[in-house]
Amino acid sequence: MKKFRYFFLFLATVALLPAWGCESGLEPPPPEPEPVGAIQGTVTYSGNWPPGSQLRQLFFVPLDFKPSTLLEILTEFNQGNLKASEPLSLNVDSDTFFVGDLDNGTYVYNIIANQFGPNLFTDWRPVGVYEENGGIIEILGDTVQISIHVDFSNFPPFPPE
Amino acid sequence: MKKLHFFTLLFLLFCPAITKGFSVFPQSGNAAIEGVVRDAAGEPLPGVHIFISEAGRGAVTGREGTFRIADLPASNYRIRISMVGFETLHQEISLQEGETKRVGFTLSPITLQSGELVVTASRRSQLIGKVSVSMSTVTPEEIRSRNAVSLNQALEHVPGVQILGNSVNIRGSSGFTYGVGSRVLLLVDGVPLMGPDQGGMDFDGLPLTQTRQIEVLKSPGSALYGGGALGGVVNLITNDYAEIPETTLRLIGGLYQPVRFGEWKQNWDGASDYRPFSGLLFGRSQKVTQRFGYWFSGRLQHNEGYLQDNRTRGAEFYSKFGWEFSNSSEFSLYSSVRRNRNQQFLYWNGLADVLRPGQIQTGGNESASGSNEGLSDRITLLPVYTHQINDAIRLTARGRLFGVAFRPIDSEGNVRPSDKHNVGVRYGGELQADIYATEQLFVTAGATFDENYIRADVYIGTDSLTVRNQPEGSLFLQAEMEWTRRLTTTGGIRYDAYQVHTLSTASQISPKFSSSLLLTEQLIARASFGKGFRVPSVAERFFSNSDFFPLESNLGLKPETSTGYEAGLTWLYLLANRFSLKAEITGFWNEYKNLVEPTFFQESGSFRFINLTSARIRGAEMALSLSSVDQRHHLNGAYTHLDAFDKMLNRPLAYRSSHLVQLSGRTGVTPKLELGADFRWSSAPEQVDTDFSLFVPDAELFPAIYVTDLRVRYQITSGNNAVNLNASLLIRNLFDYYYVERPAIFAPPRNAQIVFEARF
Repeated sequence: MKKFRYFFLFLATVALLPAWGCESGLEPPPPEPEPVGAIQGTVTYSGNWPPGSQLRQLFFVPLDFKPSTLLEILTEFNQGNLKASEPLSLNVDSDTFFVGDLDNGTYVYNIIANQFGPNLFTDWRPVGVYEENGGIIEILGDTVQISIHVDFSNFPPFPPE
Repeated sequence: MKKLHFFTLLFLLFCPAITKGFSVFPQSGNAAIEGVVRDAAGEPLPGVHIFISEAGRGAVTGREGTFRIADLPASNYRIRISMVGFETLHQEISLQEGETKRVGFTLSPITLQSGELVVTASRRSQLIGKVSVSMSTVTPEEIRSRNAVSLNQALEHVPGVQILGNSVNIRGSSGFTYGVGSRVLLLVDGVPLMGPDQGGMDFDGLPLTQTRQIEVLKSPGSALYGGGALGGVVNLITNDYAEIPETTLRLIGGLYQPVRFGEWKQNWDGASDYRPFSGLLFGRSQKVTQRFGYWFSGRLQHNEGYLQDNRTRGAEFYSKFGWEFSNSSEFSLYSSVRRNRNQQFLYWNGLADVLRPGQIQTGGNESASGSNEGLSDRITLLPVYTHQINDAIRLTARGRLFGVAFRPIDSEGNVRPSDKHNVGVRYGGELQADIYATEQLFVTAGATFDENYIRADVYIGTDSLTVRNQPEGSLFLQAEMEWTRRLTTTGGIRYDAYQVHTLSTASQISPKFSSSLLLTEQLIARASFGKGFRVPSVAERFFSNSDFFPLESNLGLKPETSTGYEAGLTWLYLLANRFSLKAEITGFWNEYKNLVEPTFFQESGSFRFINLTSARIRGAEMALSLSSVDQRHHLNGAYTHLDAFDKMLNRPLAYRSSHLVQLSGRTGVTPKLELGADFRWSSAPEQVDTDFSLFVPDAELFPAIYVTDLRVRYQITSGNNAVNLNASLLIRNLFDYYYVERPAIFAPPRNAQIVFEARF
């Protein structure tokens, strides 16, 4: 009968195999996300910086929609729904930025915006667009790190495709 | 009209039993033959047919395997000793004038497992292979090797059985019932032992160390046992008295492992500790003389609990003695006393805080607490008197007294005032006649009476009474006919009358019919039909309280009823002369009416038990067991598929798992070392009660259950030593799987225990 003990042990082991493959059971619920998050990033520049008349201000601006006109962006800005970084440094190789208190959500159009003329309401254009991860930033109560490149010799199209 | 025919048939079956039972066998001599028949293991075999063809005389062995055939003329005889499942034996005997010859016979089983005896199916000893309804048994060895100290631990590996908190669920008969009412009847030595007030099972108050066998009947059993046996019967058969005096001591020490998630530990300091539990079990059994024997056992236990406010402490003591006044009459008395001081965890504080009891708002500024503490005392007395009138008739009178007193304890640790105490007593008795009407016809008939008395402030219904009674009485009759050696049929009927409340009485008639057919020596077919019912418990009718949960009474509750059909095949096979194989497949179909379920009522802001629904539970069960002939290696596997459907709400019935799998193995690696493992899986129920989660956060969570237990036992001394000493290590929930066995109560995480056992 001795030889059968191994047979029984083998059968018992095989029978208990499902226990390893099972799901994990109850676990604490994931913590409730903070209602707001932030984007922290680095912007790098290449190409020749435009003359000072066309380089009045640079900001990082995350948008949760893809605008078809500049007016749509300005409307959101006027309604207080738009958040932007502090003004970025000019004539540098790179800079960092931070946008806090961003509502949780999906930001699909994230740009470096350049005021290129004297009119604060109309003279704006994107000079760089966040392109990693399909250009999408998910905010779920956390701080997301990104990087954007601006090529002054090749501006992105507006409105976006 | 059909009922009338059924009664007529039973009466016709019963008539020869009466006439034969009281007749005197032909007087043709003064010699006699008497003796005992045992199986290969030396255990007495009841129900063995002894037949002397030359004299045309016969007898059937009684409970102790004994028989006597008197008034025989001096002659040479050839005696046939036969029993289904055993090889028939023939023996030549020579009797002189006036001689009484004592003989002993040993029958060998045809296959090893068919020799298993059960009593629950027909209220008498039978070979399990001859039983025509689905039954499973739990052996003392299984109880001991798993160190099962409560009934739920002993039953959780029985095919088709699922433990849901404090309910035993046989093939989906019970869902989660909030601890009141049970659709499975608990018996101790055939005597009902349900709580007088809540009508539930007491998993802890049972003498598991002195248990000969636990039998599980998996179909409606009301035709024999009356109310409560709606979904089946669990019968704990206590030990006989040891021929060689035996004392047992078992010391248990164990620890619950802290849960692995910091979120669950942060609100309770105790959650980071290994929480201990311990126990001491003791017992002694002795047959003092040929006519007197006793056993006693006890348990002291302390469990700190793995949940906050869930500590339990208790002491319990059980005893049984038997006195054989003469060859024809005997008396036994089983008794138990028990005291527990338990904290009871009722519901959690949500999935984010599973280890601490919750607090729920029950209206206005009032709130209910998810835990309580109380002191409970229990006493049980079960006297049995048996008188063998002649070779053919045996009378048994059984009494029962089951008392419970509960005293709640306040948050300061003091016993609350006496008006908050609950007292419940259930008492009754029954008279049963077992009649071997002919060699082929066995009849069981009897009458029962039960009464319960409950005094509690929580059972004040709309009639404002504080004392509740629920008397009930019954008559039952069953006839079992062995048409041929291969075909046996059983018909039975039971009439129950019970008081619904103080002014009205109701009744139930529960018939049954079953048949078994030995197709070959290894293959047995069986089919059965039976009805069951359950009278709602006092708690379901009258409970009205918001201390722990908002519940209100419903005096108009009607009994639940069930009708069950099943058919199955059992195959017994001796494999290569080394392994005993038993394979069973069963299909079953049960219809339930007036099922009582707790339901939330918006207008009163509370729950109420109502006759909510009708249901259909059908399915199939497959079980396979393989044992080596030396009994050192065992493998068991079972799969049960359930289709439990609520016909009123047109959706799955709540808290029923569609799939149950149970696997277990035990092997003697060396003569001293034994390894064992158990695995059970039940799929997540498709439907749960969402009303409960209106109050208790995340109470709707009920994931699939995957639990693996592992055990190792080492025999330290044995054989010729005076003390047989062994040590075991048991790890329960080996993979630390987190689950619930009842809503909003976290089931035990991984825990380990060491057990030392001495027998001498």
